Amino acid sequence: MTQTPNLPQATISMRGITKVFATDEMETHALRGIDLAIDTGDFVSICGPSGCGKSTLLSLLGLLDMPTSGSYQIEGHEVSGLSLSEAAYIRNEKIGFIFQSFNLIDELTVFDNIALPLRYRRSSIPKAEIDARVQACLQKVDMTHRSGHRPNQLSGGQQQRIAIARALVGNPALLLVDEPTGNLDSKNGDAVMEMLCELNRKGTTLCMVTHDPRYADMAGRKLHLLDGRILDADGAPLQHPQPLRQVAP
Amino acid sequence: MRFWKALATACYSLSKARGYAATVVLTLGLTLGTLIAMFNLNYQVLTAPLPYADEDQLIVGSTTWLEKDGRMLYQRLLPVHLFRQQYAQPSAYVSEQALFGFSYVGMTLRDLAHSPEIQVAYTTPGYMRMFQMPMLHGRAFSAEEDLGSHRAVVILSEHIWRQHYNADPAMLERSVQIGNQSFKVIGIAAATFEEPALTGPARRNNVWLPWDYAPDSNARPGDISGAHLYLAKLRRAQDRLAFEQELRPIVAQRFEEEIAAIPAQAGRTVRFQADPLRLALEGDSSKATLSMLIGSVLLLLIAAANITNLLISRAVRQQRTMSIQAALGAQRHHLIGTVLAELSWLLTLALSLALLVAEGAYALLWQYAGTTLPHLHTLGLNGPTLGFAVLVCLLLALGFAWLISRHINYRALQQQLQSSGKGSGIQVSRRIRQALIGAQVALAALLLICSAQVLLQSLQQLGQQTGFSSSDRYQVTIDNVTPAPDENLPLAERRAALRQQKEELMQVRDILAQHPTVQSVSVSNYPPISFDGYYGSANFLTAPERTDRLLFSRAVYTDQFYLPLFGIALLQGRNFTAQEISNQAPVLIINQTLAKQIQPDGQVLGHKLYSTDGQLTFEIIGISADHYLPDLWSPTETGRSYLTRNLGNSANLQVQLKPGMQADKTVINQAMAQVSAHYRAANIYSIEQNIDRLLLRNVLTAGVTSIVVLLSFLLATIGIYGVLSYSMQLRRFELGVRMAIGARPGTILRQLLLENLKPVLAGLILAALLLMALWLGLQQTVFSVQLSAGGFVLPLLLIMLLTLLTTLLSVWGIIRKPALHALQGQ
Repeated sequence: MTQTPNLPQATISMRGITKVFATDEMETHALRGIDLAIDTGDFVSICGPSGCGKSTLLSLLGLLDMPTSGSYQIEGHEVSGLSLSEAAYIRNEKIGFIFQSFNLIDELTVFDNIALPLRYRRSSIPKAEIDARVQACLQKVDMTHRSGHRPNQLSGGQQQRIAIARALVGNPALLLVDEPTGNLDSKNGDAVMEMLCELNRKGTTLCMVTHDPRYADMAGRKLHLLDGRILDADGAPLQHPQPLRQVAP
Repeated sequence: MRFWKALATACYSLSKARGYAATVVLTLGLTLGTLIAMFNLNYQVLTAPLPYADEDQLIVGSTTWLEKDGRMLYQRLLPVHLFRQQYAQPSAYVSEQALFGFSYVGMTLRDLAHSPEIQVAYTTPGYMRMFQMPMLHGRAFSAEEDLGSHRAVVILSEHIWRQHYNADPAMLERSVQIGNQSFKVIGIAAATFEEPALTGPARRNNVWLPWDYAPDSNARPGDISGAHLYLAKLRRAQDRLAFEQELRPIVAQRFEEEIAAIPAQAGRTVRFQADPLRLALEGDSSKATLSMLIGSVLLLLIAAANITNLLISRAVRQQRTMSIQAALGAQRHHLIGTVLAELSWLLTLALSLALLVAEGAYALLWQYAGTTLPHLHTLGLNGPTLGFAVLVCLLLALGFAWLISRHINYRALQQQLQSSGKGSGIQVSRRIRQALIGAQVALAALLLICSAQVLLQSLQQLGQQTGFSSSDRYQVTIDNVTPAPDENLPLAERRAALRQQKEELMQVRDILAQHPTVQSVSVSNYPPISFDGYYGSANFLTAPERTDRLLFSRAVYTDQFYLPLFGIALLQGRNFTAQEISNQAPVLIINQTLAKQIQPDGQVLGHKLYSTDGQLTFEIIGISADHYLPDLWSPTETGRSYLTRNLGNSANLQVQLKPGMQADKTVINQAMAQVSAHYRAANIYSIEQNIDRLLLRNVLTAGVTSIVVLLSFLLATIGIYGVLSYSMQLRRFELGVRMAIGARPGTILRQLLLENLKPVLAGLILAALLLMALWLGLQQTVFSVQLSAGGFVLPLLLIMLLTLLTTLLSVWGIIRKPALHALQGQ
């Protein structure tokens, strides 16, 4: 499958995105003109060798970092030049993260880890609603019985399920997944992937970085990155990306 | 060899971390330097040997004057008449003795045209033997110049000899004119003479005369003088108390006999005390020096806590290097050796800086406290101080190394390279980090609150209006050689002679008042604040028969120009008239404080007061405003009285010049010469400078406490920042996660602020408990402390500001960058 930037209902639109890491002595071009559209309900996997720019692309998609140049829109809003505070707000409202190393906070209980995104909301959410939404997410990942535990009391698979619950609790428009099975054995990895597929089937938009071709194939669209560029189906860099559809803000 | 290699490596490593090295060296150098200076000061004041042989056998004898009910009226006074008798028949405990007095009126070298003012000491030959006065030329006093010999000889200081007599060796056997007497010079005291500062560190005598020429040398029975002391060398140091016990009843009984005929003195007594020389020299200065030492120890403790944080933070940053060293086979002691090598450099540099800081502190102390603290001229690098400094450095080095070694997890370091760098071989638990912050805050708050209390009190005193005008006003001390009236003359004739002196000085006043540079002139015994802090006194009775109720006042014997010249406000009544001054009318002006002592409402205009012998009756014609001049003798305003009477021993002119005019001794001497050859201007003192001199202690206190407040705030900031910064390094990834899931920079800051407030509040509670303990402790001592709300609020605000600042600074590097940086550990 090749990229299809002109589909309706585009959630994510990137055009001409570059990222250059500059030091005193050299510049590293991590991304060299990425054009990408991800639509609501898509499940996109991003593959490629080490150093090809996968993690950089995922960071830009999640507004964890800002591009050097190019346009990036989420639901029609330009987000490439946001302040740190505005970016945090968009991340909190629109994006959910699932990391390879789970990144749960050891000092907090499972419940509090999941509730954290809701507590960072700009407009405060009543405690009862937080409780209800956290419980719902715990049920989704089948971890209700562990809500009072600390992350270090859980197995790797369980921690990743908690991380998924935390990513889902804010009802994000896009779920960004970075090597979700990287720290899991195959059984737990399969279970997590099954859970992600199930979420996608229920309408969650997913963008996943993975090394594992088996899991990459489970995505509806597969993107290959090499030297900071997206390759076409034949393995050649896309030279003439089609214009992006204009989306009303 | 390995150690030198380690030192070389440490030097290179520190050169790559210059900011860190500079912070440690500066923090430690400043605080250690302060501690070294304070240690040396206390060493010199409290324990350093005095430059006199058998110092522990030297004593200073004086008496304390007690009221009937045992209340102390005055201390360090000497009934001179009694001790003249004692000198003739010394105790068996005494191997050497001397009477010592000093001039407290203006005196000059009259043989010189410019008649320079001199400070004169009066003594007996034993003084020179006890204190081993070294002679540059000539000889010291011998038995021929002892009590009663009336031999007019003098010893000059080398300073005076060089300054005024061009170091002329022929001065020996020549004469100098002091007062109305010519004295033959028999010796020049070498500049190396360490004169015991028996009259305070501010005074250095220039001339030594035989005791017989002291103004009070022939004092009558019952006269007590504050300008004399009985000095003795005991046969054995342990005889001091026995000697004191021997003399105490004898002195008390003789005094009682001598005052029996004076009704106002009835029932009073004196208590002899023989103080060790060291105690007499240090006075109450040990309170101040010990307080400063304690403050500097606290500062060093805060600094040590800070440096511990910095060292741990550095060790955390160096953990990759340590991991590689561990992987290559380095043992635990190798890693600690590396830390010790760096510490050696840092502490050596800090010690060098500290010694420089200490030298600077000595210079500052000499400049600003030279007249209030003893022995400051002896401060300088010496063996005990250097030993102390090295010892403190060694203890710090060992303490730091031990603390760091406790936090190096050697096993974790070994495994670190194998586990892709996750985890840390050097970690300080959250509890220890919070304890460090709490301890920092407690120490800083304690120091800040104590310093702020003292600082605000000093500033309040400095900012207070004195209650009189001082600009362009000058005190002219007069060298008066008018022969004293014969003691055998009737009282009326003696008074008439003294009245003649006052009239002559009023003539000088009137001549001077015509001079174009002069605004106003007054004759009086003292200005509101004298250059040497001395004042006249007069005691009154409220009724002739009420000898049990004595009113003490600082008395000014003056004329009708005094109050207007100093702009002293009259709240009730009126000033003296020229007629009253001329007739020496028995009228009196008193200040508010004295008025309230007479009657609580202070409405005493027209009331009468009586002299202590009941022979004179004074009518109160005016009530003046109080001054605000707290001094060593009275921390609050005391009673003051203004009288038309004769001047007594001390005669001054108070001169107000027109704005921009300079005081000129020649002009004054010319005016005096027109009236009498008996008068010469000894010196001219600016009243403003007199006030500054009085307030110097407050200025010094305010300066020192301001430095302590700033230093403790700075050190607490560095220290707490160090801990928080280290915490942030450990929590960088966690904060990255929080930011990744939507925490805004403000949210992170708020959360950290709330977290940091917990140990800060714990530290403040600990400080409050320590303060309470300190307060209860102070209640058991003679220290008195006035507390002010500002002294608590200001430190609390500073601590809160500090928490906010350090939290912001420590997390600033994380929250001002995209979340990815924190997640990647950048």
